[in-house]
Amino acid sequence: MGSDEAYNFVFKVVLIGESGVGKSNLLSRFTKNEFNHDSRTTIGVEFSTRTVQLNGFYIKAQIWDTAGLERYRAITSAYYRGAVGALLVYDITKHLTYESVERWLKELYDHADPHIVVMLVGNKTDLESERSVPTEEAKDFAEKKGLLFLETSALQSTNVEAAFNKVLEEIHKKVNSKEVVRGSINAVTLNSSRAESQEEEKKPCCKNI
Amino acid sequence: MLKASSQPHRHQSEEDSSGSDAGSEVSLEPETDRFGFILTNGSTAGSVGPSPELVRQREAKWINIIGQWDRILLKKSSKVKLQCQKGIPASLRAKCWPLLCGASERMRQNENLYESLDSQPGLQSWVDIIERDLDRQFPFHEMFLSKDGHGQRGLFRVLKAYTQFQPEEGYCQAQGPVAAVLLMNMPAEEAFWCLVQISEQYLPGYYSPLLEGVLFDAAILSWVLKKTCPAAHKHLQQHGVEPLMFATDWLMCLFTRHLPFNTLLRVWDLFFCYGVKVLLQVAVVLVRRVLGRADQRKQCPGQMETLERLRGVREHVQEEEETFIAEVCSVPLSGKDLEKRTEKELGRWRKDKPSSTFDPRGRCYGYRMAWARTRQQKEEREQKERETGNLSVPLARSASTLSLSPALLHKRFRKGGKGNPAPTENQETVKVEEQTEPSEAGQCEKEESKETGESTVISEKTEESQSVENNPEAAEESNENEQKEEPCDTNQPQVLEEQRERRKPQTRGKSFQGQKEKVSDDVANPAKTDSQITRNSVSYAESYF
Repeated sequence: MGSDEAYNFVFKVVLIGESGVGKSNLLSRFTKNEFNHDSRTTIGVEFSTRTVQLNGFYIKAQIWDTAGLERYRAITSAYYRGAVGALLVYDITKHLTYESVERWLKELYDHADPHIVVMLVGNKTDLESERSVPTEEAKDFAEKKGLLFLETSALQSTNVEAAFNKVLEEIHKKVNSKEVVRGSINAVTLNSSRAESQEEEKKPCCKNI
Repeated sequence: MLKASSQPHRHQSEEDSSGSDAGSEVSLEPETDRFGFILTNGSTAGSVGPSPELVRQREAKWINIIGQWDRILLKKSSKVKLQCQKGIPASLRAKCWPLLCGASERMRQNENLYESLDSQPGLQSWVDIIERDLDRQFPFHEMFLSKDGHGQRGLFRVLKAYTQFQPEEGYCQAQGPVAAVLLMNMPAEEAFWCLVQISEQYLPGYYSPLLEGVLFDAAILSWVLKKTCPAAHKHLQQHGVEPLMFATDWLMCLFTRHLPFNTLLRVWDLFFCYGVKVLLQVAVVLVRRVLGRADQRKQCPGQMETLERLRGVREHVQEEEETFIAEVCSVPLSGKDLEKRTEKELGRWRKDKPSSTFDPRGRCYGYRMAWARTRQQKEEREQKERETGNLSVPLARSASTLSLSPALLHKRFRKGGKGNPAPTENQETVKVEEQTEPSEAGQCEKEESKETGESTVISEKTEESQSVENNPEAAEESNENEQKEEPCDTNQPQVLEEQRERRKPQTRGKSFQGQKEKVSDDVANPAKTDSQITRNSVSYAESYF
């Protein structure tokens, strides 16, 4: 399984975050290039797929969009199964949604693979005038927690591709590096991933579950 | 999706009492279908509905039923079920749905409650969440277009009132579409009480903080699918597709977002009649339609493909609602089956979640239970009032008085009566034992579940139902031949005997007479826990078909 072989990967990525931050529109923007002013509340889970080409590989991203309201966490634990990436979304105009990020991280680590690639996403940059979460603050927080970070606008399509592609890239890197360092128990630390080096002998399975 | 026969319905401006918000915001009024759905966006203008003559006949039957509601419920009668299966006339849903689910009675028992909740501000945190969701609940319907229109405002009031009524439950997003459909069919107060009945009695735990009802029924659905369409079920299992991944929205929103509107209304007619069982049956039909055939399953080689297919169920429900409803009714799942499975599942549930107090056994499996439950609540409340010294409340009627005609009864209790408007609703003892009813419209329990190539409609076996399929007019006539309503005061000894029989205690649950528990007053202490409901409930095993 050399890295120059054309290889199909399937990566499951989950979108999490408070209700109303724009997860569903990030999903539709990335997978269908659509933005819906009339989108409905997500009840349960929505999902969509898109295949991208990264570094010569074809990667199929399976993206799961979950209901954000607190009580839906009772049923979303199944969604994390097999997820190798996550976009933790908040609304830059609603500070409360940023304050819940810690809770969401905990939720994520409680249910998902500990090596999951996480990106903190500050959505709705089109509403710059109503901003209540400073970019630097969020960026620092992300760095401290070992998360990737980007600010996006699903409405204007800003950085949406970049966000998903970055996450997929990072996942791919992790997967690849394991193959390169087969048998090794040393951690591979990536630039913006978590700082601590833990043993990473068990990689998440990135194939379709 | 649109058939040529459907005509777009031009709405008046906002002076029109139909409540269209269209005029207030957009310069050009959107064209809508006959239900008010904007034509460019997922409307359902396929069906034109039954003939006016048929509608008139059905309306007459319902008016008759409504007028004798309590009496009908005390007797064994399949009238209500039959009429629900045929579909409630649009003009009468506002009256029938609340009646079926017990909301009318609750409303009567709590005359000023909604008003008082409505006038209070409610908890700000809930208010904020509800407000934020308002334009995301039913964006494709004219009634809910405008933020300040009476659709969104009504939705807000009903949802807010619920958070005040059940503060431990608060607001769950799925209640939005449910309340919206209710509001499209009745005034806010009735809609509120229907939402209460749905959330508390029909689907307890569906909207609560831990969504236990949903989790529980997801497991039940798995079992139902295995029983009724094993090949599809196997496919789902093989590809790691669990019910919660595709059926959460179906169940929690009662298919509001997944069925054409005309079909949805018919499903709700059945739902108010039979309870949660209908939701499971509809789920089976939908799964069968998209995965029932081997070639369909072959097209779904993986989890994502299967899920995408399940997401597109709506496209597979395009023809006349009669076919769909017949198919739903023919899914072999009886109330008894469901109750038995619930017991078993509960055992498993308790092992997995020992700290959970969730108990679905008390939930209402249809209009009879809802009726009995609300009567029971009323009795308890009156009992409580008597205990606190309110001597104007008369004693519960004994068996001998049950046999009296309503007019005589009213006379008897006039002195001590509370002055309730309709004598038949007054002082009746609630204890009604549900007998197992003979299967009538559709011998579905006996049918094997077959995995057929096409999803076929299993034709119902009784005369009446067959004639419904083939000739609605003839069916209406044949209904005249069914048992006529007898006035209560004839056959007195026989009726007495029947009622004594019915009042014998059940094997499960405490008998009504034995209850000494503190009862909750709706106003003072609205939240009745699931376990309380169970302790108070009596098992109503009834075969529905």
